[in-house]
Amino acid sequence: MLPTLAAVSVMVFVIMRLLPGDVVNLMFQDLGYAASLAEMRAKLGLDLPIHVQYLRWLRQLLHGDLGQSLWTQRSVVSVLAERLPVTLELGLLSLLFAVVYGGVTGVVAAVRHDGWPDMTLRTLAMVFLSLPSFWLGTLAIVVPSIWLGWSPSLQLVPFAARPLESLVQFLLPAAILGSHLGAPIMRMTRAMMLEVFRHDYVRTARAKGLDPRRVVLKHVLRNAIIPSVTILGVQTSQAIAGSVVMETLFQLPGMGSLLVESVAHRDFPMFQSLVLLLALVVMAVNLLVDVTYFAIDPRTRAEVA
Amino acid sequence: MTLLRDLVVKKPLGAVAGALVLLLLLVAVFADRVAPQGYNDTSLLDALQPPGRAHWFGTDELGRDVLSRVVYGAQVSMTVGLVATAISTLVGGALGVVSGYFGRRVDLLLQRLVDAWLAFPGLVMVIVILVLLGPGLGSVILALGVSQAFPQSRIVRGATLVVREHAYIEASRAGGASHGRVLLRHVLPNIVAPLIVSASTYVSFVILVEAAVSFLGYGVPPPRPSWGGMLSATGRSYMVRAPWLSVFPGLALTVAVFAFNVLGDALRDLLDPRLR
Repeated sequence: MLPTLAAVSVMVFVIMRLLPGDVVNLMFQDLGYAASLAEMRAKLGLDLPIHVQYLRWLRQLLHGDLGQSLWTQRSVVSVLAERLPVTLELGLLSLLFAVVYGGVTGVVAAVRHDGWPDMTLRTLAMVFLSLPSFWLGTLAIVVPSIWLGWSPSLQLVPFAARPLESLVQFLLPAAILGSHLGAPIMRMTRAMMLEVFRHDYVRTARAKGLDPRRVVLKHVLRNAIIPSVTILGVQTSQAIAGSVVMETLFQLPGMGSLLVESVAHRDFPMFQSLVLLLALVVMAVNLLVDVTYFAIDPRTRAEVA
Repeated sequence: MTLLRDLVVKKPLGAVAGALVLLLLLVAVFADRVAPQGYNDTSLLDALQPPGRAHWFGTDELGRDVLSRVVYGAQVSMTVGLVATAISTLVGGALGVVSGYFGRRVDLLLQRLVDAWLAFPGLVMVIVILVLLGPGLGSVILALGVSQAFPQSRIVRGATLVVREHAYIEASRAGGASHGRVLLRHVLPNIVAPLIVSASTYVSFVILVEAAVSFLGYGVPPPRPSWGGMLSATGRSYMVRAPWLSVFPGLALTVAVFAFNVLGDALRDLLDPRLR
């Protein structure tokens, strides 16, 4: 974890140093972020020796100072505090959707192996996997407005103010993103369940007359679920990437749209902090996934002890 | 050849998908002959025509034929999909084999690097590279090729770790073969199957990410059409008045990704039964 963290910080740091000179020129000449090249470089912290730059940046980070936006002059932390809840709501809602959809259909498909529910659900997962979420989102905006004269509200309802209305607003983008994220979960859950069904202890459990539903849920699912949990870690990273697209499409002011805006405005202090923060979120989720292994599978506990 | 026969006999759906992929490739290669018009032939008098006999897929706000633009869009998607995946397979393959075969410190160092890279959400890293390189087809290919190399190296490393333990590797080392010879003659042929499988699944992913990046406006610059770009630039401002602008590029994209996904699945089932 720690070496990775160090490597991540170095990578984000290097990104800023690799900024092409003409972009820096553009930043002070056309965008007016500074009066001269020297002042621009000072604002970006490019004027000191490289190791001093890194240590200074690191010290600021550890003090919770993520710098200042060039575009709005506001501190990055205060902007993030505003944007984070939106992405959190969209991300969690779509992951929840993905887990419920992927988990349930995966189990059903495995239980009805090679029957029509299996075929239908597998085809559906393949379709969801192939549908670009931004296209599905575009259609979800266009089609109802043509046929029903209805279009989703583009005015954000904050969760803290009106939770229920806010959830309704996020339902559509979250379902679209969740269907894409849930498809691999469905495929993995199904494949692993089929694998576990072949084991002797499952036959034993059935032979001794246990309730079939109990066998599926307690004996099979619990042993089959670990790879799906692993996938969930990967899917979180995908959910962040997806929210960049969905927030732009549905005009939700979250971290994803902030990322796109900061690139458009060449607001690199903001961009740098965002990239770092998103990487930290992914790492935190992966740690959480590892911890979940222990909870689900006692064998992994024994290995460590 | 046996693979082709297996595909047709055992995985007919995969064979159909393969044929579709081949068709898309042909369309991309012979775009100038397939497309009824050039991708940038504007004619303002014909702007925003609905699909009809003259323009099967309608026209956009500049009067350009949407069918022609979808056909030329295949060039961008196929080029990026295949070339970027080739780059990521070569780079990721080399990284993975070296990391898995030599193990120890080399492995530890390389894997921490891969860990750090994987901590960044894929699309974000692609945007970062595009910001640094500037827009263009070459930048998009490089950005996607590099960013996919790291996850792919993990798969290859895993396969190499298994192969490394076999007795024939030890035997050929004991017989005096150099590391290079062992890698090329004994390790590489045995990890070709997982390499093909991972490459075939990455093609569809790369095509999707390219479309997403173009949709956000960082992809191949206009007037060159790409499916993702067509969905953003014109599609969104005119989509209610002219839904065909968003329907056809998206449909083409979905069909292409679906075909590569199904083909990849079929290849995996045939080449690597353990992964089923």
